[in-house]
Order: sequence, then C-alpha cells, then structure tokens
Amino acid sequence: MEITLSHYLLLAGAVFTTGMVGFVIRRNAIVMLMCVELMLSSTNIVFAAFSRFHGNADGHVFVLMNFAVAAAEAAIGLAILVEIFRRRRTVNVDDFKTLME
Amino acid sequence: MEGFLFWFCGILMFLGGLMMVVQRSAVVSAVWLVFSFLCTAGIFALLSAPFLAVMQVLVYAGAIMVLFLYVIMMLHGPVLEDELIPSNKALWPLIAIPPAAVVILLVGWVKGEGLRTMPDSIAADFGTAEHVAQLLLGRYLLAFELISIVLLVAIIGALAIGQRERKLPWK
Amino acid sequence: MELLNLNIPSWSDLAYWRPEAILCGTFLAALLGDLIGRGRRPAISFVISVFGLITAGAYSVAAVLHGGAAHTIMGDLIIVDGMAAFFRLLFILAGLATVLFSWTAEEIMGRKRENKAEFFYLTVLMTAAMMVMAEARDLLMLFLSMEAVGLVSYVMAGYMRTSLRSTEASLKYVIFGAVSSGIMLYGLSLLYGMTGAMTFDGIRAGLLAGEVNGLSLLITVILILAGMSYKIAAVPFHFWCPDVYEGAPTPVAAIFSVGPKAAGFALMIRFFYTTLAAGADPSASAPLIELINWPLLMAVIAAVTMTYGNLVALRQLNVKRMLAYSSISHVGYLLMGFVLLTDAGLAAILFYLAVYTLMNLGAFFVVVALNNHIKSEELDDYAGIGFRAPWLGTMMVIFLASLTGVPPFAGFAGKFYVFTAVMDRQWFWLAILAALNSVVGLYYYFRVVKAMFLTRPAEGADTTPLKIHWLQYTVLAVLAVPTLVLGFWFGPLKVLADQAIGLLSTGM
Repeated sequence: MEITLSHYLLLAGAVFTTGMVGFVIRRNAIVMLMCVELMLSSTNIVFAAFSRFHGNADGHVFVLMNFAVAAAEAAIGLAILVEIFRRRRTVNVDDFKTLME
Repeated sequence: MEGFLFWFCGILMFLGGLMMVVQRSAVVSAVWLVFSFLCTAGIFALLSAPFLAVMQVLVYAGAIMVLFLYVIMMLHGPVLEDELIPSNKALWPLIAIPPAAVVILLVGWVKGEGLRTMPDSIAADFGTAEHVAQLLLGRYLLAFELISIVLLVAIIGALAIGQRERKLPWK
Repeated sequence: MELLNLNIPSWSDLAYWRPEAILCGTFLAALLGDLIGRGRRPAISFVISVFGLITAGAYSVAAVLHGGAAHTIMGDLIIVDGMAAFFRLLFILAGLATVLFSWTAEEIMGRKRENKAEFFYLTVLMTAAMMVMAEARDLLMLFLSMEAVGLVSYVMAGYMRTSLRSTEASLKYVIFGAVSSGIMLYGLSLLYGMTGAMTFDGIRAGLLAGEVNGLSLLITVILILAGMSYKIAAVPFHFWCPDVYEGAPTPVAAIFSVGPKAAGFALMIRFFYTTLAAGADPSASAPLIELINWPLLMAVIAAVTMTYGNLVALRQLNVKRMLAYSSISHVGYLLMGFVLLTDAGLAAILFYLAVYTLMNLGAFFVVVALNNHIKSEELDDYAGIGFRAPWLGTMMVIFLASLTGVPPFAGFAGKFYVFTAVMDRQWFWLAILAALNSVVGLYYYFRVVKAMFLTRPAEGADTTPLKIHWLQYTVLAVLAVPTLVLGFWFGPLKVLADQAIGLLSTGM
C-alpha cells in the first residue's frame, strides 16, 4: 500500500491529540511541558510532509526554527518551574490553589 | 519498503507518545518521549528531510530532553503522580479540534481529487543541509536573526529567573 | 559552496528598518552596561534604554513624515508601511513611558534583589519584537515575532517575584502560552499545507485559486485564532490575564496590558485582512469570508469577551485586578472592528488602540504612583486619596472617564468609531450590547473615583499630602493631555489611522 500525504497527516493528528490529552489529564507541570513538546513535534511532521508534497523547502526552515523556539520555551518554563519547586516543594498544578480557581 | 518503515516508525512514535501520557512517573515519561522523538526522526528521513532527521535527534531528543531529564533529576522530589485525572475539565473540548481538523481536511480533499499521493519526482538535493541552508541564510535571513534574539532572551531570562537571594554569576 | 551563492536579498532595504535595528542594539548595549556596572548601576541601563527608545522614536517619526510608501525588507518577510509606522510610534510611546515611569516606581527600583536593569532592557526588546509583529508578512515571521514577545513576557512576569502567587501566575502563563502557541502552530501548518505558501500574499492566492473546503478553512482559522486570542486575552483564552497582572509588578502589568495586546491586534489585522479580505479584486474575497462565516464568529467572540470582562470587573475590590478585567472588556470592544474586515472597522481599531494605550497606561501608572506611598492596590485603601494627591486624583478621573467612554474624552471618540463601523453594516445587536456594557463599565470605574474623592478615610489614617516625583507627573501629563484633547480634536489621529489601513488595502 502506497504511503500518501494523508497517512502522514493522520499520524501527526493522532500524535497531536495524544499530546493534547496528556496536557489536560496530567497534573505534573514538567510532564505538561513535555506534552507541549510532543504537540510541537507532531506539528513539525505536518510541515515536513507538506513541504515534501509541495516540493518547496520552506516548511523545513519552519521546522528548524521550531526546534529553537521549543528549546527556548522549555528553558524558560523549566526555570520558572524550578523556582516554584524551591518554594512550594511541588510541581503538581493541583497544589497551586491560586492558579486553578 | 517505504510502507513498512512508515508503519514501523509511525506506530512506535504514536506508542511512545501514548506511553508518555499514561506513565505515572515523570522520569519514565521523559524516556518514552525521547523514544517517540527518535521515531519522529525516522519519519523525517522518510519525508526526504535528512537534515531535519539529524537535527531532530541532536536538538530535540538530545538537547531538549536532556534538559527535561536534568530538571526532573534535580528536583528528585514528587516525580510520581497518584492517579491520572483531568487537571482542568474546561479544556476538554479543545481535544476534539485537532482530529476534527485532520479528518475534515482529508475528507474535503478526498472528495475533491482522491487521496493525495506524494509527488514522485523531487529535486535530488531536496531537504539536504545545503538546500535548507540556502533558504535559511537567503530568503529567511531575517528570521534567522530573529531566532538568535529569541534564544538570547531565553538565556538571559533563565538566568534572571534563576537568581536567588544570592546574586547573579556576574554580580 | 561560495558565500555569493547564497541568495541573500538586497541589504539596502535594511535602511527602512532602522528603529528595530536601533532597539536591538540598545538591548545589547544596555545588557553590556549592566554587566559593566556589575548589576549595581541600573542607571546605566536606564539611560541607554531611554536614549535608544528616543532615537528609534525619532527615526519612526521621520519615516512617517517622509511619506508612507510601503517597503518590503529582505524579500517578503517584513513590510514597512503606514500601519507598521503607526504601530511603531504606539509601541515606542508605550515602551518609553513605561521605562521612564518605572525609574521612580518602588515596585521596580525599591527591591533588595538586584533585578532592576533587566526590566529596562527587556522592555526595549519587547518593543522591538512588537514592531516586528506589526510588520510580519510571512507565517514564519508571524510565529517567531509572537514567540519573541511571548518569551520576553514570560520572563518579565516571572523574574520579579513579588509573592508566591506571582510565581504561580507566571508558571500558568508559560504553560498555557506554550500550549496555545502549539495549537496556533498546528493551524499555521495546515494553512501552509492548503496553499503551499508561507507569505500572506501567497496564502491568499492559494486560497482563491484552489477550491478550499469551507469547514477545513474554518477549523484552521479557529486554531490560529486560539493562539492569537491568548496574546490579546480574548475569552476563552483570557484566564491568565488577571492573575498575571495582579502578580507582576504594576509597571510590568501596565506594559502587558497595552503592548502585546496592540501587537496582537496589529498581527491579526495584517494576517486576516491580507489573507481573507484584501487584494486587487475585493469582490473575490467576499466568498472567503462568507465561507467560514467570519462575521458571526468574530461577533460572538467580541460579545462574549466584553460582557465577561465587564461582569467580572464589577466584583473586583482590587484596583489592579479590576483594571485587568476591564482590559479584557476593551479587547471585546476592539474585536468588534474585526467583524466585517472593512477598512472603516480596521481604522476604528487602530484609532481605539492608540486611545486605549494612552488611557490604560495612564490608569495603571496612577496605581503605580499610589502604590509607592500606600503600598496597596485595594479599593478600600484608596479612600480619600484624591485629597492627599489632587493632581494624581484628577488624572485618574480623566483616565477612568476615558476608559468608560463618556464624552468629551478620547475613549468616547474611539468607541464612537468602532460602534459606527459595526452599525454601518446592520449589526445592531452587537452595538447595543456594547453600549449596555459601557454603562456597566461606568459603575466600576466610578467606584474608584468615589473611593478617591467621596469616601472619608478611616479614623486616624494618614492624611498628609503625597509627594509624587516630578518624572511621574511629567509622564502622566503626557498621557493625560492627549486623552483629553483627542476627545474633541481627533481629526489628525483619525486621518493617520485611515491612511494606515488605506495603504494596507491598496499597497502590495
């Protein structure tokens, strides 16, 4: 069976949804950030697949930039998280009563 | 061969993501995510994107996930959750959007022209480092500069956030 | 491979990009100044930042005076046109006012921890990134500039920790910001797939050429809107806004409430107008908007946002939190201009944004100035404060009256244009709802005025006059005078806004 563009899109959609579900059901802030990384990664597949489909490499450049942005977001997010952990001794978002009204 | 590799990498990638979500331990989750990212590199290779495949392994599975694992190890506290329950029920409806988007997009296309197959012929150097670099340092030069600023902000920001009552390294 | 083989576009275009380049240089210089001063001399960074902002502002004004022809820079990524020039001035005004005002703000300067200088150069960098947001004409620049502004905001919200609550708010800000940008990215990737182009023009051509499935376009637009709504804090992506504003130092909240929001609107105007509405053939664009039922979508978002913001603001007893919810409701008014994607509506948004920047910054700054003395933002502690600082109180009345939208203040003119733009196309229910909301706003804004001027302070409370720094008075006056004057002499600003949008539709 030939692998079409649709296969890649469905795969990316499934992984994106997994990340989204994880983001909603997990309460550990670190894991929530990891779920976001999974979502970004699945978006990269969409870009690469369409890039191959249209035959222009613009999507590849976007994916590369995405790597850098994901790294920057992770760095900032984890820095804030460590800071919170230092004070609260927890990274469980349910314990942040001020957060979830 | 392409078909086998796609199903192999794709299913393992999805499985890796799924295992990351359902594992209670943050460390195990992170390792599953690394596994998933390695399979993503395989998908990139299938999509004639060798450069991206290498970067995926080096940057994503390598650098970023090491950062995550490092933080988890550093906190070495409550990395285990008791049970998995929705942390925010208000967000649940959002989950339906991505699959709906893909399905609707596909249905629209299939009705139009049938399943879209990938074009057979593609430039020989498509997706190589040289090809991507041509774009990155040519048309997208300005974006390349902007990302350097973004990374600089991340460095300074992480330092500024991390400073405690004691002072910054340079202060 | 030789370097010449790289297809680098013309360098000379960069001359049109001086303000941004200067601000980036200022950021680096102020950072170095902080290093040289070993973090103990925030004055170095302050002076460099102010100087850089003024220089960039001078170049922006010069660019406006030299005519508003549109220039693309280095290929198609960036365009400097009338709208970009308009927003440049707005952002520099906001950045400069914030930097100057913070110099005497105790919340920034009066801390033991050595984190003063960062605030100045991060504000400068945020200004530059916001300008890029207003100029982006390519999906990649759109995403990167939004991320740049977002990351600077996360840092600014997170590093000055006033309380545990503020740290938690910044964590919430980062995590949900990351997920919303991920959702937007997914939408962008689908849009790229549907059209095979990254530039807005290319996307538009692709959308018009191919037979686009309405439902898939609608879902793509919703995904992209999710990311942008987070930036402008529209319902249902507003939840971070009150917590972050309350947790962050007030000067940071002040710049958050105007800068990134205005930049988000600039981005939305350029993106949606160029891809969905504008073009050489306006009649061709009508099907695209109808295809996804854009007017109804935006009208519902606008209506829900303004009503929610207003109703919750009613219950707030903390002035900062009240201003946060009021800023959400103002986003609702602003979104009304989007409903029809007409020139009149978009020009009304620009006008309202300019006015909103003045009055909202002003209101937040008064809170900063009061916080220097009474160390509180609770409404109860404002009792009788109008008599201790009459000028400050008067200016607060001006800003709040303008936010309410009563004539003859600038807020009235802004609301007037937005309302007429909507009513021109028979969206009466939306205009009526917005008018009702303004009446609700009257109640909670004037509760502050009542506390300041009509309530007696508690027995034994301090009644000595407050000493406000001259720099604070100067900045407040610079914001208050236009707020007053624009209420009846709004012609020039209106012309500027009309020109900016006019160029958007005819140019390029």
